Amino acid sequence: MTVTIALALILFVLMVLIGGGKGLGAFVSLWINFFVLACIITLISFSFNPFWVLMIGGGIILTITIISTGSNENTTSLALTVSFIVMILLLLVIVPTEYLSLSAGFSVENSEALEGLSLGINVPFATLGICAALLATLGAIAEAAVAIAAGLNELKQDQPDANLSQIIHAGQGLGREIVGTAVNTVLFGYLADFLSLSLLFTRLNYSFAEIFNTKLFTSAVLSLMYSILGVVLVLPFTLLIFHQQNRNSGK
Amino acid sequence: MQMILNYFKKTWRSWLALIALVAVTACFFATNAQLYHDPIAKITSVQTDTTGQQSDPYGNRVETYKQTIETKLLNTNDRGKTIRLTNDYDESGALNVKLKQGQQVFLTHDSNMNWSVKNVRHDLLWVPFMVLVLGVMTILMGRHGRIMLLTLGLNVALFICFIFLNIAIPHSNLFVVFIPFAILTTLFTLGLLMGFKSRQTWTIVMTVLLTSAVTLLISKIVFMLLHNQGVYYEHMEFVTDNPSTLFMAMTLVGVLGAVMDEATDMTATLFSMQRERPNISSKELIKAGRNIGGEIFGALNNVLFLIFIAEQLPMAVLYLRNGNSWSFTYMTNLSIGMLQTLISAIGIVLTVPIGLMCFKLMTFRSLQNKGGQL
Repeated sequence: MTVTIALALILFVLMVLIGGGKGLGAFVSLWINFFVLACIITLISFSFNPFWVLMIGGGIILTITIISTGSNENTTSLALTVSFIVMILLLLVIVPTEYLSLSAGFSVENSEALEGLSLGINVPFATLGICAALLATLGAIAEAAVAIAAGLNELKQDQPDANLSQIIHAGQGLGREIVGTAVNTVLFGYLADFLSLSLLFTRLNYSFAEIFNTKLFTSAVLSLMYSILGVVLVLPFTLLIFHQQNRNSGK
Repeated sequence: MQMILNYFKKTWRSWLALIALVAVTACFFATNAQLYHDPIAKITSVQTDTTGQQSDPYGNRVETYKQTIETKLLNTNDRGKTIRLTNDYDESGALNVKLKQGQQVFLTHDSNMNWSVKNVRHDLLWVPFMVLVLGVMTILMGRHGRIMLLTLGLNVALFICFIFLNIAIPHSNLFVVFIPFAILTTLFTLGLLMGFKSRQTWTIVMTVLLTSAVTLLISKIVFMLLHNQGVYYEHMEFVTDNPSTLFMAMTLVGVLGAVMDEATDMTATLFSMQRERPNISSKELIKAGRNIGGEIFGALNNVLFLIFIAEQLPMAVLYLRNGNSWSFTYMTNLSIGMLQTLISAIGIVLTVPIGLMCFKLMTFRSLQNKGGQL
């Protein structure tokens, strides 16, 4: 038995014991997302149009992640709408930024891993960089969208007499707290990823000017910023769409 | 629509200030070449010619190009001097890059004063972009945004301090060095977000630290019992230290944020439930805790999963395009991220029982204290 399988078994038992049906859903969603990501990688390597693979694959990942929380229909549909909007907005930010930054591909620090590989592949690395950057943000977007949507719907149920602007106001406060902790989660995720690289930079005695201009540092900072932007944008769009939906249903 | 208009009526000054700040930062970085030691030049003209094709046995074929470039030095003693050089690149752009007019590049020269491009200058793009994103965050999140900005800055600063600390201590164990980092960031982040004096904060701090410790202990035991079978440390990137301590340190840092997130959500709800109904039964509290936990597990796991795995996508595609099998590609590129995801997920799940236990412990003592006072 390998370590991966053992850890997966432990996780499965814990999730079912503690989370019950929802825990099972969470466990299954992780593997479905892994499968979707593997499909995305395979299809892109088969030279399918990366844009469509990314949009469809990204959409599936968002849907799986949001459904896995087992929220009710209102919450799910609100969270899905918002996360799709934010994903498309982010893509509109990521594409020009990646093209201007020229930070895709590899740099000298990767040379060990690249040994013996033929680098001239048919898929441009600029495109692969965009795919990687967008996919990394999706989990955080979905999580924030579900949490805020669920909070808003709960507020609406708890206070049936409150008018819409009161709910929106309370939702804003709640949403800001959710975004605060979500940004934190994202930050530590990226710091963990960045740990080995930062040790390498210090061991090689890079100056700050050199570190700030390496491809690897640049793409790490940009990825972190895309994720933070994604999480932050979830709140205004959730409030806006919630407002729109409930105003219409009130008439 | 009215809502959006109202919002911008209230905050247009902040947005204007942000745009000005981003513009100033961008201008500063576009013109500050003299602050750097290494020679920086601006590309004034580019001529690109096709040089042919490059192909490999795996069916990859890319066009290759040669660029003849004229640049003007922006710093050093030869400032203003025109330098001509060439740049080779190919369509895929793995290690090379297509240069464009107006870009700034770092130059280097050999002993014969033949200049070449060392690196593209990146900071003049990402610094203004970072200012923009953090500014949007601060404005949209109001007062909360400023605290978020403060904790972000503080955590990054602590991270940098501990990286240097690790270098400064000879023969240090990276994982041991990052244990105080974990304790300090947890304290600062939660303290700043919720106040150092509240009992809720300390319950969450206790939950986070205990959960991280138990999670890493469980994974360490599994690693040892199975003799690291299927753990491909040799495929970890940028390894300078002992890879197993590096892996543990990375996992510790990664799990912190997610566990803080979940512990905060759950404990806050438990405290507010108890405030509303002081004699609520333990059974109900446990049920509520499991309910909230169950709602966030899945989403939180996927947050970390995508951060850990998605960045490996370019490398994985490269491996597949080089005729490698999926199992080899998984082993070399994705397996370490998957292990990190699974360990973090175990941490996220364990937050529920450990959080409930800590809550019980903290409130039990407070009830006793109250009894004593009466």
